[in-house]
Amino acid sequence: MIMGKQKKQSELIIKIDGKEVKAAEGMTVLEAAQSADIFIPTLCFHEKLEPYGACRICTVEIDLSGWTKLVAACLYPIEQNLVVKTRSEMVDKIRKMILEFLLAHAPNSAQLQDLAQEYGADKDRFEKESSFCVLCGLCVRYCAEVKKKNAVGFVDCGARREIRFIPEIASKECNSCKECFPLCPTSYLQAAFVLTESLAFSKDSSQTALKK
Amino acid sequence: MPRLNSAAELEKLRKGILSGRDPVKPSIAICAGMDCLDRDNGRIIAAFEAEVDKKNLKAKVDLRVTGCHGYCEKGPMVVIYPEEICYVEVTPTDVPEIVLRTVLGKKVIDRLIYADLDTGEKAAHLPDIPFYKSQRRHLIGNNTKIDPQSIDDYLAVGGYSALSKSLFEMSPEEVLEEIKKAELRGRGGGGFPAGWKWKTARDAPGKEKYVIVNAHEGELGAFMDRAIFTGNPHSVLEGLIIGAYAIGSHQGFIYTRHDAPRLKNNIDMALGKAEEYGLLGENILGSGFDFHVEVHLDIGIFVSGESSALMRSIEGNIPEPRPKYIRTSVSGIWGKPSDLNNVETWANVPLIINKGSEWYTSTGTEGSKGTKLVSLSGNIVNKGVAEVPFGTTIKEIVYGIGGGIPEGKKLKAVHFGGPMGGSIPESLIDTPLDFDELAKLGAPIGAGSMLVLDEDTDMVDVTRYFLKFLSDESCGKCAPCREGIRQMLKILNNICDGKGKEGDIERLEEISEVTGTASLCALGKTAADPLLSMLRYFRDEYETKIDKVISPAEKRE
Amino acid sequence: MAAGHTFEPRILGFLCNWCCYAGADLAGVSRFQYPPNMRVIRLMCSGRVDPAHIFRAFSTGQDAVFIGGCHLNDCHYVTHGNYDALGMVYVCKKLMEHIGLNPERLRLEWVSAGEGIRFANIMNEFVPRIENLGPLGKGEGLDGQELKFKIEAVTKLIPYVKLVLSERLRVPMRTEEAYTEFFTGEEFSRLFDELIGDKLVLYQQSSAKDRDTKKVAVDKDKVDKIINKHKGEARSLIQVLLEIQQENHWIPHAVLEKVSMKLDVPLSRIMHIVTFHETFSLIPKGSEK
Repeated sequence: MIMGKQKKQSELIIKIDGKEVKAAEGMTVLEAAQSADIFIPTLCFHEKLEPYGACRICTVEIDLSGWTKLVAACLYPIEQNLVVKTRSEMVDKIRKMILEFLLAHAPNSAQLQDLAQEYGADKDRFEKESSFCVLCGLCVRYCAEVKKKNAVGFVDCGARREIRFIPEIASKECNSCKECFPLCPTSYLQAAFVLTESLAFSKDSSQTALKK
Repeated sequence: MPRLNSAAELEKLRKGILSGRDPVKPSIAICAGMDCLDRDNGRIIAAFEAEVDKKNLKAKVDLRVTGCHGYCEKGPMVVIYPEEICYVEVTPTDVPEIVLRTVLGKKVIDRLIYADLDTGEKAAHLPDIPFYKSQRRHLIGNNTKIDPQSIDDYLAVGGYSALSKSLFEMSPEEVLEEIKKAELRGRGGGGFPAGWKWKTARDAPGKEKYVIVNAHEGELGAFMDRAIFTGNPHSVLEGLIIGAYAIGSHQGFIYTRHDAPRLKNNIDMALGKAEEYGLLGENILGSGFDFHVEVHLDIGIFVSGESSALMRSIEGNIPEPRPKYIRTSVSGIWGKPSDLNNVETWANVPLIINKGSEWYTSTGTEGSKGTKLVSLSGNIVNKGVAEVPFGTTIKEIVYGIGGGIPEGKKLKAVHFGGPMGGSIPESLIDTPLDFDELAKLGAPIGAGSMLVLDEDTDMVDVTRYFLKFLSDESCGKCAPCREGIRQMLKILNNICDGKGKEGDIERLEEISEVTGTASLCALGKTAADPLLSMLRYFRDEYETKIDKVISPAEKRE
Repeated sequence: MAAGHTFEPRILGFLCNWCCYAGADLAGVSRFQYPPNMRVIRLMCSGRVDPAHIFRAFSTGQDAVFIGGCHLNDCHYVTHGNYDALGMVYVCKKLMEHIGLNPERLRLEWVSAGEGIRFANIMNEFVPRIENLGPLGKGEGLDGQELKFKIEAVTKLIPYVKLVLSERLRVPMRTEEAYTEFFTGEEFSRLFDELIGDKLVLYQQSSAKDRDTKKVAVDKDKVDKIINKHKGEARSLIQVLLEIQQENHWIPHAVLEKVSMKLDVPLSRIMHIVTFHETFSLIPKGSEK
């Protein structure tokens, strides 16, 4: 819930794909859809984390008093009489292209491949990129919001953006945790971890790790 | 300087300042705008100081280092009052002659005044110079009369009278209503009606509200915000305080670049002086209204000029935008209602309050009222900052004020809005300067930078340049912007390097459709706008570049 | 080696139990002659060979490594381990090139149980070739220390390399053509350089720096003053960092940690801010990256 606690949560009625859905005020379109068992694909969404809105795969078409807009379902708060379309020509176009962008980075990701089949995304559309991180931010956010350790974070900006482990914290915390590892859709996280471990963990910390 | 505790005390002080100033006393205004500083006007300032000292003229002549005069092409500039004689391209060796012959002798030095490049026609007085003739300098006109580090200069030209009027003669709602009636639209690029934004912030629940000056000015080719903020910081500050009063905010923020030390210095001094005089801080002018201002510097990245990213930065976080499904005027800094406006927008506020919305709306067009500061750069004779009423045609700005294209070349296009804008081709230069008219043609006015391009410009290369800029300045959070720009840049680089492929244009259009609709913030959404604008008016240049690569044999197939 | 002695290469061989080992055995039984320089380690599948084994062999004085497995598509395990060996060898050869070792020192061959004579022929060709190349390192003009250091660097990176190979450098089909096309292609070369090559260079550079670092002094008092001026408030983080950068022209890692502690903000957030734009510098002025 992004607006914080509401004093009185009134119930709103919205329409998703023609189906009437009752949902509490303050919910996002994604939450409302999930409560009605309507599927909207996501990549960077996780129920334990604050919605991030970075992958844009959950883009849906909404209609509010005649205005059509394309918004991220995981962040858009529902309003009374909102009309939502989870599939449309534009929505499918967007999802297909985003998948093609990401497949250029991580063509072997099972999660991406499943979605690619549904939307007809071609993994060879774009030239392959070396970094197989899709920057969904699940690892960074999990460590910050759930574990509150901030052992991994983002660095740099734009196309050079990457995730990086903070060696001082990671060498102490990660070996006994690793809860973020299964979240990574491409396994780049594990690769980044072992890289940092081999290059940047101090000798004492690696000895401690061996003893465990 | 004891604090002023009432409107009457303010007026008394103002009268005192004015009575102490002799209107016929000669004064020398030396432009210390960005461009003139680059042209080493420090030596000119030193030369004047030395000369005044030598001739014992300190009491007889006022020497002012002012803000930008606007005519950057002809800098370093010096204006002598009260005659308003304007000397251009001054050198330190000219200084003793200027003091002797003009300041004291009241004679014009012919070789130092403006002369038209083509006709040779001369103009000695500022209002006669073609660059200034068709301008309407409501905002920036005072720059030549004010030392930005002196609050008294600002008071002498009527400064802070709008604040006094708002606090004592108008209620906050009345102030807000006046701004709404004046139809003041945001000058930072959004063009959103300021009055509506203020109203949203005012009506939003919560007692703590914030007002922000966006002095980031990251748009390529835009330097007018700096011109007015460095030259007349009090005008912006006054607008901010009035806005805070109207909205009900007691805390303001000024967000500015970290690499403009002179600007920061002037802002700090203005804040200090305003507080000293009781025009800022606790119990302003004894009205009971409190308002404090904090200055925040940016990291240096273009995306931090985006309003939600800016607010993240003020909080101490990384400047990453967030989608504005919930307006920042409802939930901004720390979740509190925050009203953000551009420097120029704020500078318009005291004007509207003093002269009234009826006067203000008499200038401009149906949809765009008032004047606009534009910064002229590129292939144009007169580079600089100009202020024109909305409705002035682009032709008038380029030829009348700008002096046309150097070397007699033909105009190809005028690019508005930098890397997020579009180009107006030569065939459409009769378009008036107007938010909606320009937006319809795919070249929204943006912050007001006008990049003039001549017939030799390679439009594909210009597009690539803008896209490369955005690629370096994008925050990289969302996939459509980060990856879309990456892929579009690859294709453009290939086209520019002669490796274009059949279908490249279609690919570019496809990617720009996704980037334009699915991106998180305005940077991503408008990243492809220059490209789309170029394809709309200069598609043939792209096709030629690609066709050159595909052999005639392949084409026949 | 002193003049007059002929160089006898030391070769370590990993032979798969089902095919290659049996083939080598057959060669022996059939009395086919071949040089005795190879020490054999029998394992169940060529796919078991790990890059760590190869580079450990090199670091303990072996001049060459031989891997023998079943012919492609004849692997005795349903997982087709010999394809894994194939991919792994391509990557290891690139690693060897990267650190200046001749990739011919690593050899992968498919020998079936009935191919005794083939095994002998391979040995008769391989051993003299290694003789020609000379001892490991010396033959490429690397001295002992340098060689040791480089092999160490690669060894450190092996866990990362294995993950990259299995997650990113996958070949869609288990066919010889697909593998050859992929691993000899431009895309693999580029991906290798960016994903692995650059990291190797980085590691070698940073260790070199560690070995001769001159500590550049940073005025601790000035830093404290700046932090205190902003009352140690988390929201002033960016202003604090900007002032430190302006004062000092770079921000050492220790100072970042101090700011993190004093302002109570996560170090990861600070790292993001200082790497976001070139305004900040994490290395002293004048040093090369």
